[in-house]
Amino acid sequence: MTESDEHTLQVQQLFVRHQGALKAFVLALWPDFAEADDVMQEVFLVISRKAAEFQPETNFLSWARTVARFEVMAARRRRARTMIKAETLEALQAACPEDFATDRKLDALALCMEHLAPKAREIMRLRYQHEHGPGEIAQMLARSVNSINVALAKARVALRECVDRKLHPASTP
Amino acid sequence: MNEPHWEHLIHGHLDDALTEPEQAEFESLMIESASARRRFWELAEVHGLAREAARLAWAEDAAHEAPTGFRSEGSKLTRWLQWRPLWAAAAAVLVLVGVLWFRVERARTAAPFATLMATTNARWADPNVELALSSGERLAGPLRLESGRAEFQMVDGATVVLDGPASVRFAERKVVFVDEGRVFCQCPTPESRLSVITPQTKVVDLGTEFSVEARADASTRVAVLSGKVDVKSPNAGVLTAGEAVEVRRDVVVRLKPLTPEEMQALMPESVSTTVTHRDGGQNKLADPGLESALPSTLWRGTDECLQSAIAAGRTGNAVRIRAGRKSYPIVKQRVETGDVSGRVVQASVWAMSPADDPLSERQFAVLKIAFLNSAGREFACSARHFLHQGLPPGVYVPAQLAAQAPPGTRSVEVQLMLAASSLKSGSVCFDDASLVVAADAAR
Repeated sequence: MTESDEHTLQVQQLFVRHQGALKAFVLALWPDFAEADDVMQEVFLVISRKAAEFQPETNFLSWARTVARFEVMAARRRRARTMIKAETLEALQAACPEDFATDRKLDALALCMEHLAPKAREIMRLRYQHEHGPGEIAQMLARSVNSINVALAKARVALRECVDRKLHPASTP
Repeated sequence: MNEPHWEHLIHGHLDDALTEPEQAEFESLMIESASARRRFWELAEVHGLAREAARLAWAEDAAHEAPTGFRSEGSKLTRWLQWRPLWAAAAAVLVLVGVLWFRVERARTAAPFATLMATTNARWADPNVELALSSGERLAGPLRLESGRAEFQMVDGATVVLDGPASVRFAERKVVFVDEGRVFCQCPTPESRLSVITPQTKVVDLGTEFSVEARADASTRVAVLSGKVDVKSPNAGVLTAGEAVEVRRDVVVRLKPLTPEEMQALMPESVSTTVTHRDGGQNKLADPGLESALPSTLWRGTDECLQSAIAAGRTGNAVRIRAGRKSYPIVKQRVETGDVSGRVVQASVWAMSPADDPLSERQFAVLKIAFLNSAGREFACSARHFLHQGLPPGVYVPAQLAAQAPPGTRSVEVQLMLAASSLKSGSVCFDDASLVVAADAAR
């Protein structure tokens, strides 16, 4: 294996190590699960191709997020989807917390999900386990789309607060 | 703009439900307001992690859930592998096989018809195949082995060995579809009997060991090593040990009987129960019983390794590896063999899942031979997976692995691992390992 191959392999290993956080980042910019999966594939290929540009002593996540941001833009263009302005994505990336979507937060979120109220749980399962959109969920449950949107929003807010309580028990009410 | 409206826009973005004017409003907000961006990431974090968190939180519910009209997995089979259950495994497997990142067709919740048991220098067209198989996924699409060898165990006990290049599908419980390349099948019991289907014919096992090769020239060769098979082509019929036929567009040609050498060549080394060692099979491992406390100068291991009580070993001590921070906690020993290129190397070990911390589903033990070059770097390997769930805890079982050392081999490392599958519990005890190098090439 050449030195260059080894470096590429190391970069790919970093991708694998951080892909949970990176995937969550992509899902934030493009919330469609299937599209985000495809973007992740492209990100991996680009990162492999450009591995030589990555300096080991620098921040991998920051570099990978930039690659991901550009891939989201490119993918939306290819799919002829509503474009998000480049400056919007840039501003969002700049504000993304360094500890975004860590494994610790994932574990906390999973615990919080177990304690959702039955109705919220049902809707969250349809949204995140079965990957349906609000319109499909509304049809299945014979409810209005608006009521599903509201329920999803409430559940996400409740989960956010629950995660914060679990991670920072002293600083949250 | 008030905060409830921010929330409405952010949730609308996360559910892909914004109208065009709302989209413009959302973007302006994100550019102009630092507080809104902060809130965006708080909620987007929940959205970004929720799919995986749902899998962790409700996995059991999903497994017991009856199929309903609105489940969506069927329409999403070609989706990406979910990330978290794989990244941990991938981090370790990367070292074994390198990685590229491609699609794998799979059914997410179904149990596999075939379990990957061993590999020797396996290079897959899609390296995720190995990751997915190691995670217990059932892969619906074809598996393309570019080179090397892979050994599978079917759910009913048959062993199927692929020699690359080969393309196969394990789409049914008792059927192996061979689109290209050679497979060796061993069906030790009546329950384990299976059929092999190639583009030219169907071979039905009648209790035997046999080889089927789907060739690039649109022909299929069937050779029987023991027992008999029924070849479902006109004028083919039942073949017995030593017989072979070639099927080409329903024309069956009986080939001359196999010689003992040809039969031995068709029998994969990793399946054969013994390998001939002309030097008498001297064990090259120091402290093969893993008696010394870890870490020692002989055996090195990750933090998850500890010495078990004397009673835990088959004889004396055993090393116990428990799931912890690492996905593949390991204990290993390097042997300076010198140039053993072309010689058969065989490793073996006994392992047990202890009753006080048994292995869970998707966890298993791994015996690996790593071939190292003159710089001490691993450049080829052979690995066997064993001790899968279903075996009673507290009982030691043996595992054996044989492979030919590739050119350039200067030292060999025996690696004993626990495939922990990201879980925090589950242990395996290893005892009585061996590493034997044949005096010269066995074949």
